[in-house]
Amino acid sequence: MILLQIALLELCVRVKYRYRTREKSLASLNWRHFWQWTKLSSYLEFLSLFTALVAIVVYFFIDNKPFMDAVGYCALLTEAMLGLPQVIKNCRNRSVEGMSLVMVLLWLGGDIYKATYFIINDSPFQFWLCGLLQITIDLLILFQVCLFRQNAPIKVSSRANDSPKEMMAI
Amino acid sequence: MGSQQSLDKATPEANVSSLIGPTNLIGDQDERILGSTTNSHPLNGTNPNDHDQSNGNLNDNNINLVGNATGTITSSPGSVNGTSFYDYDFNFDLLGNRIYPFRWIKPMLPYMKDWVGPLASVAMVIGCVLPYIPQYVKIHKNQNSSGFSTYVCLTLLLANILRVAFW
Repeated sequence: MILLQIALLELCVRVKYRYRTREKSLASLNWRHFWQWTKLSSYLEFLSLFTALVAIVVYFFIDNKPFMDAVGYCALLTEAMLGLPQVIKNCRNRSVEGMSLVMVLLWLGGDIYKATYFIINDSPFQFWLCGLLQITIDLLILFQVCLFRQNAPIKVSSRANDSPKEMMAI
Repeated sequence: MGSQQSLDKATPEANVSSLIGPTNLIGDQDERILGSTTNSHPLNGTNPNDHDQSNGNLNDNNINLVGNATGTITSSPGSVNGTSFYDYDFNFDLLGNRIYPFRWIKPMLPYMKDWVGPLASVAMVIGCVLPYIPQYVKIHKNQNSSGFSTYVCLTLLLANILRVAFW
């Protein structure tokens, strides 16, 4: 799963920054370029730093049950916020082209399954609440697909369609 | 048919082989397999409301709650006096026996126990991986990733790292 995300990230970085406008890396420590680095190694460095930080914190607080519960809830909440960057990006671009509709539908199906699983198993309310939140965000993305459908009549198929504005957009 | 089945207490296979009748919904055969004692079966002719033969506790003390998939442990699943609707655990009937949502589940349990858990885990992994494959293919085909926000990858990676740390 983590490997898949890294692979996807690698593809995005390779495709987006193939024209090499400016080199942005983690080493420059510019927080405005936070997740817009041009090299995959910057992303991997950030992830390993984050993993090390979390590992150190967990090592010291492993016996503290409320803290570990809080970590679990943070993980749950972060996963619930999954579609939110996509919503924001669709709003900024005013179009949904390039985003796979199948992906959003599979997200919706998976989240409905997860939410009903948590409701049926009488899990604490945080679980199915985050599931419901995720379903809401997925429905919001589908609403954006309906809304912006008229903005994307032609399929993006060649490099000539890349404008400088698209290259700089997140 | 049900009373003849319940008299045969020696072999679990005979209990599992009964596929018809409402006796499948009553989990006393589970307790037999798990090695615990059972309350009197209603079809033996004993009135379930007759407490002469029981110790006054409607809950079977030897129920193995490891099989409880709800995650909630209720002390008296069969109690009806002075409790509210919210205290009643619908996964157990009034005798304290485990009941299942579908009739075919209970006979299948001994055969399903080995692979349902790992299958659920595998399905979970595949279900997480599956949505991103069409997106990957689309970006690779169009050579344009402006439609997909990479912050989604960030969110997922952070969530997975935190979850790994949690476990």
